[in-house]
Amino acid sequence: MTQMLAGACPECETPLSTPPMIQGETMSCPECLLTLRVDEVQDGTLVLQVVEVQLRDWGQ
Amino acid sequence: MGGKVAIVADRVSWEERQLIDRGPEHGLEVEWVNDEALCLGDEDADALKSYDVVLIRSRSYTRGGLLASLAEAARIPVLNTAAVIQACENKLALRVLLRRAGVPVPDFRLVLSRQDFRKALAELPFPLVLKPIFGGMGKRVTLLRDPDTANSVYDYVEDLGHAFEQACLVEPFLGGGSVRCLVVGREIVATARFESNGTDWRNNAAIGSHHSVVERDAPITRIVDAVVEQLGGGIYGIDLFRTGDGYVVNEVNHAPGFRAVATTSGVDVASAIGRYVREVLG
Ligand SMILES: Nc1ncnc2c1ncn2[C@@H]1O[C@H](COP(=O)(O)OP(=O)(O)OP(=O)(O)O)[C@@H](O)[C@H]1O
Ligand SMILES: [Zn+2]
Repeated sequence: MTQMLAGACPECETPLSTPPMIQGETMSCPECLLTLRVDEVQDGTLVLQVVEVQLRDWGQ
Repeated sequence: MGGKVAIVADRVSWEERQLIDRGPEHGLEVEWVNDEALCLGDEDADALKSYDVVLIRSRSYTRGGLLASLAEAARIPVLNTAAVIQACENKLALRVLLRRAGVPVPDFRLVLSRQDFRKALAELPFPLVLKPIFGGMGKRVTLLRDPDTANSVYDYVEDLGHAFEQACLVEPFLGGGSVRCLVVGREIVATARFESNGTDWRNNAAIGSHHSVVERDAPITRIVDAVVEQLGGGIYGIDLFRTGDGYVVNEVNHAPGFRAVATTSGVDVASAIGRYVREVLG
Protein backbone atom coordinates (compact mmCIF):
# COMPACT_ATOMS: atom_id res chain seq x y z
CA MET A 1 0.00 0.00 0.00
CA THR A 2 1.27 3.46 -0.83
CA GLN A 3 1.71 5.90 1.98
CA MET A 4 -1.03 8.55 1.81
CA LEU A 5 -0.26 12.18 2.53
CA ALA A 6 -2.57 14.42 4.51
CA GLY A 7 -3.24 18.14 4.51
CA ALA A 8 -5.98 20.73 4.55
CA CYS A 9 -7.09 23.22 1.93
CA PRO A 10 -5.76 26.61 3.03
CA GLU A 11 -8.87 28.27 1.61
CA CYS A 12 -11.83 26.15 2.75
CA GLU A 13 -10.05 24.02 5.38
CA THR A 14 -11.35 20.75 3.89
CA PRO A 15 -9.15 17.85 5.06
CA LEU A 16 -7.36 16.24 2.10
CA SER A 17 -5.64 12.92 1.64
CA THR A 18 -3.56 12.15 -1.46
CA PRO A 19 -1.27 9.49 -2.88
CA PRO A 20 2.41 10.56 -2.78
CA MET A 21 3.10 13.97 -4.32
CA ILE A 22 6.33 15.90 -4.57
CA GLN A 23 7.10 19.55 -3.88
CA GLY A 24 5.77 21.82 -6.58
CA GLU A 25 3.02 19.49 -7.81
CA THR A 26 -0.53 20.75 -7.88
CA MET A 27 -3.98 19.34 -7.21
CA SER A 28 -7.42 20.84 -7.08
CA CYS A 29 -9.32 20.98 -3.83
CA PRO A 30 -12.33 18.64 -4.21
CA GLU A 31 -14.45 21.04 -2.17
CA CYS A 32 -13.69 24.59 -3.38
CA LEU A 33 -11.94 23.55 -6.63
CA LEU A 34 -9.04 25.96 -6.17
CA THR A 35 -5.63 24.83 -7.44
CA LEU A 36 -3.29 23.94 -4.59
CA ARG A 37 0.47 23.58 -4.85
CA VAL A 38 2.50 21.37 -2.52
CA ASP A 39 5.12 23.73 -1.11
CA GLU A 40 6.48 21.25 1.40
CA VAL A 41 5.97 17.74 2.70
CA GLN A 42 6.72 17.45 6.44
CA ASP A 43 6.41 13.98 8.01
CA GLY A 44 3.58 12.94 5.72
CA THR A 45 1.82 16.29 6.04
CA LEU A 46 1.32 18.56 3.05
CA VAL A 47 1.94 22.29 3.22
CA LEU A 48 -0.36 23.67 0.55
CA GLN A 49 -0.63 27.03 -1.16
CA VAL A 50 -3.38 28.33 -3.42
CA VAL A 51 -2.00 29.17 -6.89
CA GLU A 52 -3.55 30.59 -10.03
CA VAL A 53 -4.80 28.10 -12.59
CA GLN A 54 -3.40 30.33 -15.29
CA LEU A 55 -1.73 33.72 -15.31
CA ARG A 56 -2.08 36.33 -18.02
CA ASP A 57 1.54 36.16 -19.11
CA TRP A 58 1.80 32.44 -19.59
CA GLY A 59 3.00 30.84 -22.78
CA GLN A 60 4.41 27.51 -23.77
CA MET B 1 31.24 17.34 -12.53
CA GLY B 2 28.32 17.61 -10.13
CA GLY B 3 24.81 17.10 -11.31
CA LYS B 4 22.49 19.23 -9.21
CA VAL B 5 19.82 20.76 -11.40
CA ALA B 6 17.32 23.41 -10.30
CA ILE B 7 14.09 23.54 -12.26
CA VAL B 8 13.02 27.11 -11.70
CA ALA B 9 9.27 27.16 -12.29
CA ASP B 10 5.95 28.19 -10.82
CA ARG B 11 4.95 24.55 -10.31
CA VAL B 12 5.75 20.96 -11.21
CA SER B 13 3.57 19.85 -14.11
CA TRP B 14 3.81 16.72 -16.24
CA GLU B 15 6.99 17.93 -18.00
CA GLU B 16 8.85 18.90 -14.83
CA ARG B 17 7.87 15.65 -13.12
CA GLN B 18 9.32 13.71 -16.08
CA LEU B 19 12.55 15.70 -15.84
CA ILE B 20 12.80 15.03 -12.10
CA ASP B 21 12.07 11.30 -12.52
CA ARG B 22 14.47 10.75 -15.46
CA GLY B 23 17.32 12.76 -13.89
CA PRO B 24 19.05 9.93 -12.01
CA GLU B 25 19.47 7.94 -15.27
CA HIS B 26 21.77 10.74 -16.39
CA GLY B 27 23.49 11.25 -13.06
CA LEU B 28 21.36 14.30 -12.32
CA GLU B 29 19.64 15.25 -9.12
CA VAL B 30 16.77 17.45 -10.26
CA GLU B 31 14.81 19.63 -7.85
CA TRP B 32 11.97 22.11 -8.21
CA VAL B 33 12.73 25.66 -7.07
CA ASN B 34 9.83 28.08 -6.66
CA ASP B 35 10.29 30.90 -9.18
CA GLU B 36 8.45 33.42 -7.05
CA ALA B 37 10.55 33.11 -3.92
CA LEU B 38 14.16 33.46 -5.13
CA CYS B 39 14.68 37.17 -4.52
CA LEU B 40 17.74 37.14 -6.80
CA GLY B 41 20.04 40.12 -7.30
CA ASP B 42 22.83 39.65 -4.79
CA GLU B 43 25.59 37.96 -6.83
CA ASP B 44 26.67 35.94 -3.82
CA ALA B 45 23.18 34.96 -2.68
CA ASP B 46 22.63 31.39 -1.57
CA ALA B 47 19.35 30.80 -3.39
CA LEU B 48 20.87 28.96 -6.36
CA LYS B 49 24.46 28.48 -5.19
CA SER B 50 24.16 24.76 -4.50
CA TYR B 51 23.09 24.01 -8.10
CA ASP B 52 25.35 23.21 -11.03
CA VAL B 53 22.83 24.31 -13.62
CA VAL B 54 19.46 26.05 -13.71
CA LEU B 55 16.66 25.01 -16.07
CA ILE B 56 14.23 27.89 -16.53
CA ARG B 57 10.74 26.40 -16.83
CA SER B 58 8.61 29.32 -15.65
CA ARG B 59 5.45 29.43 -17.67
CA SER B 60 5.45 33.18 -17.14
CA TYR B 61 7.36 34.95 -19.88
CA THR B 62 7.83 37.94 -17.63
CA ARG B 63 9.72 35.86 -15.08
CA GLY B 64 11.83 33.64 -17.35
CA GLY B 65 14.14 36.24 -18.87
CA LEU B 66 14.53 38.21 -15.64
CA LEU B 67 15.45 35.14 -13.59
CA ALA B 68 17.83 33.86 -16.28
CA SER B 69 19.75 37.17 -16.36
CA LEU B 70 20.28 37.17 -12.61
CA ALA B 71 21.20 33.49 -12.41
CA GLU B 72 23.81 34.13 -15.12
CA ALA B 73 25.05 37.19 -13.24
CA ALA B 74 25.60 34.90 -10.25
CA ARG B 75 27.76 32.72 -12.57
CA ILE B 76 25.44 29.72 -12.69
CA PRO B 77 24.94 28.08 -16.12
CA VAL B 78 21.36 28.61 -17.28
CA LEU B 79 19.24 26.82 -19.89
CA ASN B 80 17.98 28.50 -21.94
CA THR B 81 20.32 31.46 -21.74
CA ALA B 82 18.95 34.88 -20.83
CA ALA B 83 19.75 36.15 -24.33
CA VAL B 84 17.75 33.35 -25.94
CA ILE B 85 14.79 33.78 -23.60
CA GLN B 86 14.74 37.51 -24.25
CA ALA B 87 14.78 36.87 -28.00
CA CYS B 88 11.89 34.39 -27.80
CA GLU B 89 9.60 36.11 -25.30
CA ASN B 90 8.87 38.97 -27.68
CA LYS B 91 7.19 37.68 -30.85
CA LEU B 92 8.22 40.74 -32.83
CA ALA B 93 11.87 40.75 -31.75
CA LEU B 94 12.22 37.10 -32.69
CA ARG B 95 10.68 37.60 -36.10
CA VAL B 96 12.99 40.51 -36.83
CA LEU B 97 16.02 38.47 -35.78
CA LEU B 98 15.01 35.50 -37.93
CA ARG B 99 13.95 37.52 -40.94
CA ARG B 100 17.22 39.44 -40.95
CA ALA B 101 19.04 36.12 -41.02
CA GLY B 102 17.01 34.96 -44.02
CA VAL B 103 14.83 32.52 -42.05
CA PRO B 104 11.26 32.64 -43.43
CA VAL B 105 8.64 34.09 -41.05
CA PRO B 106 5.03 35.16 -41.76
CA ASP B 107 4.55 38.62 -43.22
CA PHE B 108 3.24 40.93 -40.50
CA ARG B 109 2.46 44.50 -39.55
CA LEU B 110 3.02 46.06 -36.15
CA VAL B 111 -0.22 47.62 -34.95
CA LEU B 112 -0.05 50.17 -32.14
CA SER B 113 -3.08 52.24 -33.01
CA ARG B 114 -6.27 52.38 -35.05
CA GLN B 115 -4.30 54.10 -37.81
CA ASP B 116 -1.82 51.23 -37.99
CA PHE B 117 -4.69 48.77 -37.93
CA ARG B 118 -6.44 50.46 -40.89
CA LYS B 119 -3.21 50.48 -42.88
CA ALA B 120 -2.49 46.83 -42.08
CA LEU B 121 -5.96 45.83 -43.28
CA ALA B 122 -5.41 47.76 -46.49
CA GLU B 123 -2.01 46.19 -47.13
CA LEU B 124 -2.72 42.56 -46.29
CA PRO B 125 -5.53 40.44 -47.77
CA PHE B 126 -8.20 38.77 -45.57
CA PRO B 127 -8.40 36.38 -43.79
CA LEU B 128 -6.01 37.86 -41.23
CA VAL B 129 -4.88 37.06 -37.73
CA LEU B 130 -4.63 39.70 -34.99
CA LYS B 131 -2.48 38.69 -32.01
CA PRO B 132 -0.89 40.38 -29.02
CA ILE B 133 2.90 40.72 -29.13
CA PHE B 134 3.13 39.90 -25.45
CA GLY B 135 0.86 36.92 -25.18
CA GLY B 136 0.73 33.22 -24.73
CA MET B 137 -1.47 30.14 -24.66
CA GLY B 138 -3.20 31.37 -27.80
CA LYS B 139 -5.10 34.00 -25.80
CA ARG B 140 -6.65 36.84 -27.82
CA VAL B 141 -5.27 35.38 -31.07
CA THR B 142 -8.14 36.39 -33.34
CA LEU B 143 -9.10 35.24 -36.81
CA LEU B 144 -10.44 38.15 -38.85
CA ARG B 145 -12.41 37.00 -41.86
CA ASP B 146 -13.83 40.33 -42.96
CA PRO B 147 -13.39 44.10 -42.43
CA ASP B 148 -16.72 44.49 -40.56
CA THR B 149 -15.73 42.26 -37.67
CA ALA B 150 -12.16 43.51 -37.76
CA ASN B 151 -13.05 47.08 -36.92
CA SER B 152 -15.30 46.10 -34.03
CA VAL B 153 -12.67 43.73 -32.66
CA TYR B 154 -10.22 46.61 -32.62
CA ASP B 155 -12.65 48.56 -30.38
CA TYR B 156 -11.91 45.99 -27.71
CA VAL B 157 -8.15 46.32 -28.21
CA GLU B 158 -8.46 50.08 -27.73
CA ASP B 159 -10.31 49.47 -24.47
CA LEU B 160 -7.46 47.45 -22.98
CA GLY B 161 -5.72 49.11 -20.08
CA HIS B 162 -2.08 49.26 -21.03
CA ALA B 163 -0.11 50.13 -24.12
CA PHE B 164 1.82 46.85 -23.92
CA GLU B 165 -1.44 44.90 -24.07
CA GLN B 166 -2.48 46.91 -27.11
CA ALA B 167 0.69 46.18 -29.09
CA CYS B 168 -0.39 43.67 -31.72
CA LEU B 169 0.63 41.99 -34.91
CA VAL B 170 -1.63 41.61 -37.90
CA GLU B 171 -0.58 38.84 -40.24
CA PRO B 172 -2.01 36.64 -42.98
CA PHE B 173 -3.98 33.60 -41.83
CA LEU B 174 -1.89 30.61 -42.83
CA GLY B 175 -4.20 27.65 -42.92
CA GLY B 176 -1.82 25.01 -44.26
CA GLY B 177 -1.36 23.32 -40.91
CA SER B 178 1.21 23.69 -38.19
CA VAL B 179 4.09 21.55 -37.05
CA ARG B 180 5.62 21.69 -33.58
CA CYS B 181 9.30 20.69 -33.44
CA LEU B 182 11.00 20.00 -30.17
CA VAL B 183 14.69 20.82 -30.28
CA VAL B 184 17.16 19.70 -27.64
CA GLY B 185 20.73 20.90 -28.08
CA ARG B 186 20.92 21.45 -31.82
CA GLU B 187 18.80 18.46 -32.88
CA ILE B 188 15.10 17.92 -33.46
CA VAL B 189 14.09 15.18 -31.04
CA ALA B 190 10.36 15.07 -31.75
CA THR B 191 7.80 16.54 -34.12
CA ALA B 192 4.02 16.51 -34.28
CA ARG B 193 1.38 18.03 -36.50
CA PHE B 194 -1.18 20.12 -34.60
CA GLU B 195 -4.66 20.45 -35.99
CA SER B 196 -7.68 22.22 -34.60
CA ASN B 197 -9.92 19.80 -32.72
CA GLY B 198 -12.97 21.31 -34.41
CA THR B 199 -14.13 23.49 -31.53
CA ASP B 200 -11.62 26.32 -31.97
CA TRP B 201 -9.78 27.43 -35.09
CA ARG B 202 -6.52 27.69 -33.13
CA ASN B 203 -4.49 24.55 -32.58
CA ASN B 204 -1.92 25.30 -29.89
CA ALA B 205 -1.60 22.63 -27.19
CA ALA B 206 -2.89 24.92 -24.44
CA ILE B 207 -6.24 25.32 -26.20
CA GLY B 208 -6.63 21.64 -26.91
CA SER B 209 -6.03 20.21 -30.32
CA HIS B 210 -5.62 17.07 -32.33
CA HIS B 211 -2.04 15.85 -32.79
CA SER B 212 -0.66 13.45 -35.33
CA VAL B 213 2.67 12.04 -36.32
CA VAL B 214 4.57 13.99 -38.97
CA GLU B 215 7.59 12.88 -40.96
CA ARG B 216 10.68 14.93 -40.24
CA ASP B 217 11.46 15.79 -43.85
CA ALA B 218 14.28 17.86 -45.32
CA PRO B 219 12.36 21.17 -45.44
CA ILE B 220 11.52 20.88 -41.71
CA THR B 221 15.09 20.02 -40.80
CA ARG B 222 16.44 22.87 -42.91
CA ILE B 223 14.32 25.62 -41.35
CA VAL B 224 14.80 24.31 -37.80
CA ASP B 225 18.57 24.16 -38.35
CA ALA B 226 18.46 27.76 -39.53
CA VAL B 227 16.64 28.82 -36.33
CA VAL B 228 19.13 26.94 -34.14
CA GLU B 229 21.97 28.55 -36.10
CA GLN B 230 20.66 31.94 -34.97
CA LEU B 231 19.78 31.09 -31.36
CA GLY B 232 22.51 28.57 -30.58
CA GLY B 233 21.89 25.24 -28.88
CA GLY B 234 19.08 25.06 -26.34
CA ILE B 235 15.68 23.59 -25.57
CA TYR B 236 13.04 24.93 -27.92
CA GLY B 237 9.51 24.38 -29.09
CA ILE B 238 9.54 25.69 -32.65
CA ASP B 239 6.14 26.30 -34.27
CA LEU B 240 6.11 26.14 -38.05
CA PHE B 241 3.26 26.96 -40.42
CA ARG B 242 3.10 25.32 -43.80
CA THR B 243 2.50 27.64 -46.76
CA GLY B 244 2.51 27.25 -50.54
CA ASP B 245 6.15 28.41 -50.51
CA GLY B 246 7.32 26.09 -47.76
CA TYR B 247 7.52 26.46 -44.01
CA VAL B 248 7.67 29.68 -42.01
CA VAL B 249 8.51 30.06 -38.31
CA ASN B 250 5.54 31.30 -36.28
CA GLU B 251 7.27 31.36 -32.93
CA VAL B 252 9.83 29.73 -30.69
CA ASN B 253 8.88 28.76 -27.15
CA HIS B 254 11.81 28.86 -24.74
CA ALA B 255 10.21 26.77 -21.98
CA PRO B 256 8.21 24.46 -24.19
CA GLY B 257 5.49 22.16 -23.01
CA PHE B 258 6.23 18.76 -24.52
CA ARG B 259 3.54 16.44 -23.28
CA ALA B 260 1.55 16.48 -26.53
CA VAL B 261 4.61 16.08 -28.76
CA ALA B 262 6.12 13.35 -26.57
CA THR B 263 2.93 11.29 -26.39
CA THR B 264 2.18 11.70 -30.10
CA SER B 265 5.68 10.81 -31.26
CA GLY B 266 6.46 8.26 -28.53
CA VAL B 267 9.79 10.02 -27.93
CA ASP B 268 11.20 10.26 -24.40
CA VAL B 269 11.81 14.01 -24.52
CA ALA B 270 12.71 14.23 -20.82
CA SER B 271 15.60 11.80 -21.30
CA ALA B 272 16.84 13.76 -24.31
CA ILE B 273 16.87 16.88 -22.11
CA GLY B 274 18.64 14.92 -19.34
CA ARG B 275 21.38 13.87 -21.77
CA TYR B 276 21.75 17.42 -23.03
CA VAL B 277 22.01 18.87 -19.51
CA ARG B 278 24.67 16.26 -18.75
CA GLU B 279 26.55 17.32 -21.88
CA VAL B 280 26.37 21.00 -20.90
CA LEU B 281 27.69 20.17 -17.43
CA GLY B 282 30.64 18.28 -18.95
N1 LIG C 1 -1.00 33.51 -38.88
C1 LIG C 1 -1.68 32.46 -38.45
N2 LIG C 1 -2.33 31.64 -39.33
C2 LIG C 1 -3.02 30.57 -38.91
N3 LIG C 1 -3.15 30.21 -37.63
C3 LIG C 1 -2.53 30.98 -36.70
C4 LIG C 1 -1.77 32.14 -37.06
N4 LIG C 1 -1.28 32.69 -35.93
C5 LIG C 1 -1.71 31.91 -34.92
N5 LIG C 1 -2.46 30.87 -35.36
C6 LIG C 1 -3.11 29.82 -34.55
O1 LIG C 1 -3.29 30.29 -33.23
C7 LIG C 1 -2.50 29.52 -32.31
C8 LIG C 1 -1.90 30.42 -31.25
O2 LIG C 1 -1.08 31.39 -31.88
P1 LIG C 1 0.40 31.70 -31.39
O3 LIG C 1 1.13 30.43 -31.23
O4 LIG C 1 0.97 32.72 -32.30
O5 LIG C 1 0.05 32.37 -29.99
P2 LIG C 1 0.58 32.08 -28.54
O6 LIG C 1 -0.34 32.84 -27.66
O7 LIG C 1 2.02 32.35 -28.47
O8 LIG C 1 0.31 30.52 -28.31
P3 LIG C 1 1.28 29.46 -27.64
O9 LIG C 1 2.23 30.20 -26.79
O10 LIG C 1 0.36 28.57 -26.85
O11 LIG C 1 1.90 28.74 -28.81
C9 LIG C 1 -1.46 28.84 -33.18
O12 LIG C 1 -1.03 27.64 -32.61
C10 LIG C 1 -2.23 28.61 -34.47
O13 LIG C 1 -3.08 27.49 -34.36
ZN1 LIG D 1 -10.71 24.08 -0.72
